[in-house]
Amino acid sequence: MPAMLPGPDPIGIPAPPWLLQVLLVLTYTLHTLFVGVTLGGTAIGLVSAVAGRAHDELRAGPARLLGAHLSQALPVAMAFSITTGVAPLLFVQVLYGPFFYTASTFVAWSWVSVIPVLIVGYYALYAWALRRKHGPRAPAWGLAVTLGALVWTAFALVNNMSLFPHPERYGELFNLSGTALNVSEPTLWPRYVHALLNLLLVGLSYVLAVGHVAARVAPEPARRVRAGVGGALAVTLVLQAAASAWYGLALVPVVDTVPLVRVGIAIAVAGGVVMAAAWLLAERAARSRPGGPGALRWAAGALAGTVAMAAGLAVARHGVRMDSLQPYLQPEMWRVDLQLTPLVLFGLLLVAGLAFVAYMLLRYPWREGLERLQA
Amino acid sequence: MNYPFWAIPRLGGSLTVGIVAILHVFVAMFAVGGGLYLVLAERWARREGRQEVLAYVEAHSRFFLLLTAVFGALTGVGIWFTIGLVSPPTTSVLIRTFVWAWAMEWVFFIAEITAVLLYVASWHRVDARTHMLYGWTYAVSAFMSLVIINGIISFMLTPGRWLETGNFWDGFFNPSYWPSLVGRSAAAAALAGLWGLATATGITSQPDRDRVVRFAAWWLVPGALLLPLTTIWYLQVVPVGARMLVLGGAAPVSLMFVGSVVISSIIFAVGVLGPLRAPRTATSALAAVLLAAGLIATGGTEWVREGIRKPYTIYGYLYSNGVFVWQQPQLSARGVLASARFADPVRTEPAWAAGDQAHAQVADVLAGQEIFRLQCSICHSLGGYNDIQPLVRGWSEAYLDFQLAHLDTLKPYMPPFMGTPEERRVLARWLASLSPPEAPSAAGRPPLPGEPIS
Repeated sequence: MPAMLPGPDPIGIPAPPWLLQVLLVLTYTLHTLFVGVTLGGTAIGLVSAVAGRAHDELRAGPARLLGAHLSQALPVAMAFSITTGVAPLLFVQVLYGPFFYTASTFVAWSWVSVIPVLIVGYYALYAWALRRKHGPRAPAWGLAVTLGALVWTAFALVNNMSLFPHPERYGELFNLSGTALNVSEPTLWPRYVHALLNLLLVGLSYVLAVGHVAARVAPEPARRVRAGVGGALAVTLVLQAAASAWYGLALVPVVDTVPLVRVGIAIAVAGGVVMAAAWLLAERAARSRPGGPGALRWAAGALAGTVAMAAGLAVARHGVRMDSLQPYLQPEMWRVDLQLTPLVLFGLLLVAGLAFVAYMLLRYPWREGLERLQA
Repeated sequence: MNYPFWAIPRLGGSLTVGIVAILHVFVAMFAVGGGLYLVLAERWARREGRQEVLAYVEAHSRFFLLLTAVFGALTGVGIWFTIGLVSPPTTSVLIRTFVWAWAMEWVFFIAEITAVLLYVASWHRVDARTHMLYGWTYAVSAFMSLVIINGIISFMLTPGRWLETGNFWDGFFNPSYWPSLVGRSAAAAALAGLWGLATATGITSQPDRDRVVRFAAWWLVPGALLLPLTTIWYLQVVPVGARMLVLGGAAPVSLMFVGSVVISSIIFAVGVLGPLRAPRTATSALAAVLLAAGLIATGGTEWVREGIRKPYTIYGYLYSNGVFVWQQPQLSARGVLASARFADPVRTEPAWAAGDQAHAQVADVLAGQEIFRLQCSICHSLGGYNDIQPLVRGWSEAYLDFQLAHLDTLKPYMPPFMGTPEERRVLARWLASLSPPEAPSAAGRPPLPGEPIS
């Protein structure tokens, strides 16, 4: 059945497709890292907030530690989740506009609902964070609302992103009301579960890192945080392995394994192994010297593994997307109308901007923030 | 024509985009002006050693963060979401032309968000110099994001030499770029003043309250002085057709323009004669009313700016209904139903073209409705915003066909009808079916073109 497809744009793309694809994958990886901290951190914060209501210090202490940190960190992570989400959305539209806009129209209401849902979720997060400043027993409803908002947003994104690379399904979902959902797509649910678990892994990794840093000022609560979160990480890794198998099986009839997908999966698996091993070694080092340089070095290695895992998955997803779209991509869709000076200017600005951001961050008294974790 | 259509009940696509955009602009321009407001207020408070004023600036900065970083940021993304749904061809042209501009703006967003989070978090935690560094970084980054987005927005009305060259810089520094930038900067300052007034009325110490109210009211002065000049300047550089719409060519646009000017004038007059001259007159209620008036003025101005661009989304290049200007001859020859990639197949079954008289009437209705959806629904709804029904009430099929045949001549804010003569007549038939023509009055009426003169 011929796919319903828009015609090519009259304007070419402003850079070679490979550059735009590299930028897409890089910025998407960055986005998933921040979203992982936000979504995973919110889920952990919610569990911790409930546990923190306990009257025994064994459970309340770690919860206080986590709550003190997450009430500062999560609003920041949310801000950067939104900001870093802009760039991959930009590059997706440049490269795949005809497909992206078409699919978005069919699922318009779920797609556009992301905006009001995130506004509510973000304000709910601030409501919790500001109440948390006045005491550790802030009600957790704000975190629950935020988590719900993020979980829905992830679904809405997967719903659209799993549709647009499949023009052969546009006819099935064609509608004027924008109320379709891509739930009959065989890869949607495994992809969604896989994405959520990946985000949770990033969040757990982040909290483990916090647990190692906080060991300097609150060794026992930090150790308990790491014990709980470490266990959750192990369980999540097992679930993610199962979800990966589920997703892989769902992909098999749809797309042949392509080199880019194999490379991406290899990087992701390697990253996951490094992450898991490094966390074990960090914990071992922390037993002899909590918050010491050995533990922190292994923690940094574990975070690097987490980043590699996220990057590998982004590469693999890109490979799957390209393979799905290959029959439909026409050469004129990626006709290059190079804009050299704007591109160079962007590159220079990016380097200068990030350098200045680093300079601003270096001037902030982070050590004081560490001491406030005891609050 | 090239993309599927999202039917939004009652509101329609253009109003949906408008609502999101107006709310965003109201907060985003406050973010631009408010960043400078914060850092100048802090500098003033520190120089004079006024702790109560400094406490006010701290509280105002927390409010500022909650409003701009959450609602402001997400409604900005919301504009992007909605324009991609409502007008994919426009969005695609803009993105492919200006992706590097948006990428540069993204760098400034990163600096902006980092700076404002550090600014709010570091009160009492860093020295004054570092704190001011964070504040100035935010102010400059926010202004630079306006500098960039202004190029893209102004391009849509005055693409200028880009139409011939396709060059990024020709499109960015287009004819209305500078009056638009100066005008928006002045409006940003005014909005910073209005929001500042709203929060300043909460200060308890009377002397400090008076000083801060006066400080906030001063921010209205640049707008009062510059906006009349930039408006005249702007109207000089926009296309003649757009200017004529403001100056009486389209009554709703003219009325909204006059309304925005009047409301803006009232805001500036009240702000200068009231809070600036006599700070004690600045009550919370007055500040709230001025803020609401600011929202109306912002909305009205943006509505006029969008309205005078009709019938285009990119002037002289792309019509609002998604048709590029060079596609018009092809559509007129081939027909819109045959050309549209996402026409509803049920409605385009050419029974009428195949001469199936038994189904012709039903097929005509469906085809007419589909042609309306493809060409007209971007601006006109059925029973909602800019409802087509009252606009064609009582018109006969012949009269409607005449109107459609001369659409852009009779109404300069309308695109020409694009389609075959048969499609035009089918559309006229469907529009006429929305309301039957009224009986002629006893005094009679002038004959329509083609009718015999009795």
